[in-house]
Amino acid sequence: MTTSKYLRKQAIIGLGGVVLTALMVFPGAALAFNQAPALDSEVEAGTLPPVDDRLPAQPMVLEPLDEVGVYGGSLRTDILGGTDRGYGWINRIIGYEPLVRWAPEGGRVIPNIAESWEANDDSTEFIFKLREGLRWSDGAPVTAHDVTFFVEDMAKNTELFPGGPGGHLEVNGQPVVVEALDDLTIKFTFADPYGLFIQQLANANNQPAIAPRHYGEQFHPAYAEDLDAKVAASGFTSWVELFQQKVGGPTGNNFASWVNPELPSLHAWTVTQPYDGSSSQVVAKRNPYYWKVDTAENQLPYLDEVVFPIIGDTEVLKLMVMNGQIDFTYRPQNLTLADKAVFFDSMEAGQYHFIELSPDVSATQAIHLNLTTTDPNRNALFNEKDFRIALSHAIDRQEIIDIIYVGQGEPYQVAPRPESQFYDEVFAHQYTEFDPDLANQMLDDLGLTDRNSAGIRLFEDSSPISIQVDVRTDTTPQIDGLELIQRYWADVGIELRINVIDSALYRERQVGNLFEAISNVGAGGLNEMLNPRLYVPINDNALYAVPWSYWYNEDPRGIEPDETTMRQLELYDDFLATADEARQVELFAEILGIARDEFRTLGISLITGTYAIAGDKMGNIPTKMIDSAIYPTPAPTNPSTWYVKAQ
Amino acid sequence: MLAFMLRRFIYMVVTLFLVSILSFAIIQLPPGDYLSSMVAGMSAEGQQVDQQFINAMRDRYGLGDPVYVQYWKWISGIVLRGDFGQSFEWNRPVSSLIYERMGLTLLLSVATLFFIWAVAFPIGIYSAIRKNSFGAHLATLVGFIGLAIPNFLIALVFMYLSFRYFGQSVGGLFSPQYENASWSLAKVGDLIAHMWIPIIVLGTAGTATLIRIMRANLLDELNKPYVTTARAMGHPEHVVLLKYPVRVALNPFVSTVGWVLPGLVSGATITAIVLNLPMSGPMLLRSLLTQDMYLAGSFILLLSTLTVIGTLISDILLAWLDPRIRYS
Repeated sequence: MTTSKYLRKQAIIGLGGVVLTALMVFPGAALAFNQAPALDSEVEAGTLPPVDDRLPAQPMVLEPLDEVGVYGGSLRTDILGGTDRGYGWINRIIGYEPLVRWAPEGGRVIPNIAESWEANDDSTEFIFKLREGLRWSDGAPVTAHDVTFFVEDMAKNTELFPGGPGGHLEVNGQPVVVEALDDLTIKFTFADPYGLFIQQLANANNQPAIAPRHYGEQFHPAYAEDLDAKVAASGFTSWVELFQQKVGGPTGNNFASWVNPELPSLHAWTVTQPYDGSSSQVVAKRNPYYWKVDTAENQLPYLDEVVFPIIGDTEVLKLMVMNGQIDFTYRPQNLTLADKAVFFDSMEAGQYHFIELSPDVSATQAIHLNLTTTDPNRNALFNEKDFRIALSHAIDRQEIIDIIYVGQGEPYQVAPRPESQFYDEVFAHQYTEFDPDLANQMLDDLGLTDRNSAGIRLFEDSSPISIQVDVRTDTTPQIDGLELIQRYWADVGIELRINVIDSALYRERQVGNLFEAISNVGAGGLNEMLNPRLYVPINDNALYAVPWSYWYNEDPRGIEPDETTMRQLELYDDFLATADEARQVELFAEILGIARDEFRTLGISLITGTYAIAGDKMGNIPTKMIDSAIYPTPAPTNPSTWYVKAQ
Repeated sequence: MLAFMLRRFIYMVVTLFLVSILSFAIIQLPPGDYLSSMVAGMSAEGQQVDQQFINAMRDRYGLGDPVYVQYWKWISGIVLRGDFGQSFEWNRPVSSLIYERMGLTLLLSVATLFFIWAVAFPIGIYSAIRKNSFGAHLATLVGFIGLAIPNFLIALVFMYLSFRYFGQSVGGLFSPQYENASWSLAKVGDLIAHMWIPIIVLGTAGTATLIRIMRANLLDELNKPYVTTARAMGHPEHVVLLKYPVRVALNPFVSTVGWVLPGLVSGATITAIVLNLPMSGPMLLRSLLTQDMYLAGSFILLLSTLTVIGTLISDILLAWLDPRIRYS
C-alpha cells in the first residue's frame, strides 16, 4: 500500500462522519486518485496540479496481472549497440500509445487514447471519441486537432513524408481525410473500403496517428513564424530535418520522443536522457500526466524510471543478465536457445527467471529460391514446383533441429502456426519428410540426369546446378543451418554456395533482385492477415519474387507474376476492401490455400523455446508473452503496471 | 634544424590531403550507403519502407551526388568553416558527437599510457641487467601472455571474474547510480574503482612490447665501451645505468609517440565495446557499420591527422635527441 493512500485511510477513519457528509455533498470527491509519493512535493509546492486534475474524466483502468503494485524503483533493460537502431526497442518498452491498441492477450483491439469508435457498414468512415480531459506530458489537453495535425499536416506533407503517409493511412494509394467534428471527436474517411483499418491502427509498425499540435506548430511551415531563422539557429539545413528531430517523421516510430526530451508525449515515462549518441544510457522518467490507473485508483506507472544502458556487445549483455543487472530483456534474436543453459546455471545468483515467448514467426529458417532471378537457366528450374519439392525432401530437418535448435521444434514449412486460426496441417507439414531417394528420383524425372565429376547435376548447357544463398552475418543459426543443408543437397547433386553478407548489402541485393536464393526466418505464423508477405507478394519483403511485389505496387521495376499469383493478388485486394470479418477470414484462407499449393518457400522447423528474461523482484510481468513486432512485445502487457516488489 | 622541420611540415600537409581523399574513398567502398543500412534496420524492426521514400531521403542526404561532389561538400566544410558535417544517424553535428566522447577517452588512454610506461620501464631495465634470472624470465612469461591473448578476451575474463567473485557491476566506467550524476568526489571514486580493468586490459599488450624493446636496446648498449668507461671512473651502478645506456635506449620510446596519439583517440575499439566504455572507438565502429559517412570519414581523418602529427613530433624529438638523424 502506498504511503499517501495509507495516510488517507487514516484520515478517513479519523474524520469519520465529516468525510461521509462531504462524500454525500460532493460525490466526485469519492473518486480521488492516488499518485506516486515522488510527486507529492511538487503538488504541495504548487508546481504540479493535484492528481485528479491531471487525469482524464474517464482514465483508462488497467487490471494489474497479479496484484496492485507499489510505487517507486526503476526498470533496467537494454539497448544493444552495433547496428541495432534502438528506436524500435525503446518504443516497445515505453512507447506504443496509439489511438487503439492490442489487448494484452493479443488478437483483439481495445480502446486506448480513443475511448470508443464506430465504423460505417462498408468500412470507409471511422469515428473516434477521445478521452475527455486527457493531457500531454506537459499538461496541455489532448484534442482531435492533435490527430488532424499528425495526419493532415505531417503525414500528408510530401516533403516530410516523401513516401506517403504510410500503409495504415491510405487505401489503394488514396490518403485518408481526417476532420475534427468537435474537440474530442475525429472522423477518418477513406475513398475505398478499408476493413483492416482498426487493426492497422493498433499495429506497432505504423505510427500512432497523433502528435502534439501545440508544440509541433512552431516547427511547421504552415504555422510557424520565422521558421528559417529557427532552422539556421539549429544548424540543420532544412525545416524537414529540424521537424523530424523535434516532432517526428517517417524514419522510425516515435523516434523524436527518444531524441527530444521537450516533445510532449502520452507515454508512461518520458525521456530525460535522450538517445542521441551522447550518453551510454537512455533514461525515461515518470510522466505525471499519464492517463491510466490501476484497479485501486492509483495513477500509473508504478516505476519511477526506466533505464536503457547501451550495451555494445551481446556477450556483455549476457554477463549483465547473469549478474542481476538487468530487470527485463527481450532479445530472442540475440539470446539463443544454446544460451539458455548458461542462463539457467546463474538463475539463482542473478535472481531472474525465464519468460516463455510464443513467436508470430513460423519457421526458424526459410529458404526462398528467387522465382524472378535473371539467370534463364535458374529461372526456369526454380519455377518448377517439383524442383522445390525435391529440394525440400532432401533436407534432414530433424538433424538440423537436434544440432542447431537443441531438439526444440518440429519440421515445419512457412505456414500458420498450430495456435493460429488459419492452421493447416497439410500446409505446415507438406514435403517435410526426409527422403533423399524420392528427391533424387524427382530431380531425375525433371531431366537433370547429367552430372559432373563431383556428382553435381548439370543444366542443359553443361554448367553445374549451383545455388547461391544470401544470408545475413548476424543470423548464426541460419548460417549453421545452411552448412548442413549444403551437405544434404550435395547428396542429391545440387550445389549450395553460402553467401554470408552484411545486412545493408543483403538488403541492397534483395531490393535489387540480385540474388539467386535468400535465407531469413519465416514470417506470418500468427497475425497472418497483417503480415502476409510470405504468402502473397504485396511488398518487397516477399523474398521469393520481389519484382512481383513491384508489379503489384505499380513500381517500374516490376515483373508480371504468373496467373495464379495474379488471381491471388486480386483476392488480396478484395480482402482489403472487405469490412465483414467472416468474409475477410474466408478470403484470406483462400489466399493461403494458393500459397500452399504454389509452395514457393522452403521452411525448416517451427520456432519454439524462445524466451525473454525478467528479474525475480519485478512484479506483474507475465510468464508467457506473444513475441511479435506488430503486437510490440512487451508493450501490450502494460509495463506501466510492472513494479518492484518489496525486498 | 629549421629547414628540417619545414620540410617535414610540407610533407605532412601533402600526406593529409591524400589521406582525406583516401578516407573518403574508404567509406564509399562498401556496397550500399547509409540509407540501405537504415532501411535494413527499419525492416528488421518490422517496418515497411517504400522506394519513393528511399529516393527522397537519398536526395535529402545528397547520397545520389557524384563522389567528388560529396567529397568537396565535406572537405570544404572542414577546411573553410571547421564544420565536419552532420551525422545521419544521430542528426547531430559530427564535431559535438566526437568531442563528447573525447574527455573520457583521453583520460583512459593517458592513464593507460602511464601505466604501460610505469610498468614496462623498470621491468625492461631489470630484465636487461639481470638477464636470465628467474625474475626476468617471469616478467617475460607474463609479458608474452599479455601480448598473445587478444585484449577483448582478457576483458571478458576480467569481467567474469569481477562479477563472479567481487559482484561488481559489469561494463561501463560508472556504477549505474553515477552514470548520469554530476561530478562529485563519490563519482570520481567510483570511476577509479572501475578504471583498473580497462587500464590493465588495454595496457598488457603495450607493456609486453615495451619491455622487450627496452630490454633489447639496453642489452645492446650495456656492453659498449662507454659503459665500461663510466664504470671504471667509479660512478655508482645506478648512475652508470640511468645516465648513459638507458638514455640511449629511450630512442624507441620517443619514436613510438607517433603511434600513441591516434591510439588515444580510437581507444582500443573492440576492448571498449566489450567493456562498454563510453569512448570514441565504439562510435567509430558503429558509424562504419551503419555507413554514417560524415561521422566515419571525420573519425578516420582525425585519426590519420593525429598519426601524422604524432610522427612529426617524434621526428622532431628524435632529431633533437639524436643528431645523426638530423643530418642523414
